[in-house]
Amino acid sequence: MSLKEVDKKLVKRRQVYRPVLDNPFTNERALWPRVKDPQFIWELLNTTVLSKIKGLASVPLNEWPWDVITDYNEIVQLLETGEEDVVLYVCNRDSDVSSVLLQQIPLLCYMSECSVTLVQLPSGSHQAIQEAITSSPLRCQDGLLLLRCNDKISDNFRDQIAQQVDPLQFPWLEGVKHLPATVRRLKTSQPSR
Amino acid sequence: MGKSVAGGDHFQRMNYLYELATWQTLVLGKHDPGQAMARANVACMDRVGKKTRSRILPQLKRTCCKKCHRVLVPLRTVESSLKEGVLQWNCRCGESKKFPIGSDRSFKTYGERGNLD
Repeated sequence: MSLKEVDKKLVKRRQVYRPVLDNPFTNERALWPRVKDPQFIWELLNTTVLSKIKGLASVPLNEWPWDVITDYNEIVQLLETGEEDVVLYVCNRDSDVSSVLLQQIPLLCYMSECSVTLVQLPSGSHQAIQEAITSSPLRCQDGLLLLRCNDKISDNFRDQIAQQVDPLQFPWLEGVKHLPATVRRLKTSQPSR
Repeated sequence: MGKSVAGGDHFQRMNYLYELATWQTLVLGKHDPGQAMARANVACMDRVGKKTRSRILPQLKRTCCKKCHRVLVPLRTVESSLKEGVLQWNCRCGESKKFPIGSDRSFKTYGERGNLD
């Protein structure tokens, strides 16, 4: 190690806050629809779908009592090309789900021809889903679980979800409405003079 | 935005350009595959940011194509796919952004790690 490198290591640094521009549209409150009672939604999913998957380990996927998709590519393809009612559960509160992967999901749901009910699940649900489907051929690495609302799903189930989840809202699509700049302060350091 | 932010006018300008470009992509983009206005606005935002050294967060930066300056909006300008742990966003111009999320799914950017005020 050279003396110059040693000096660099010893130099005192001070904490500074640098202004950075945040995306006005990635505000979590605006992007993800609010769930009134997250625990109820989780219990509903658990009792209706997850608890019964263990008993379906030997049953082929097309004979299941519901159509469930957990693969990211399949979900995106369905949302891009399909025209049906779906419920999309997202584990966006869990730290082991990539935030980049989920960044475009709300806008994709909004732009899709499908009627999508986007439901955010409480934290810890990703691991619970993975444990529930471990014996089935499904894999849930991406924190997404899509449920097709076809004839196999009862109306009561759909109504209960619809009552608990706010619809997707993208106020900036209503018209050219200027939102003030969201400038955040990034905590970092620089050499003191 | 607080009054004490240095370069506040530049941030306001960049923010306005981005909002305008997003709206143009979403609303007008259906009938305008070239999206010239939206691209011009994003290019202008990029230039302002570089000239004035005004930084933007990765969450915002990711949504712009570096090559053609389109705002990346699903079903309009970008197609996403996940192959072997690599998330790929393919812009309409042919450029692609790759995120190797499979190597560390819990990865957070510096700002997302609690360093934002």
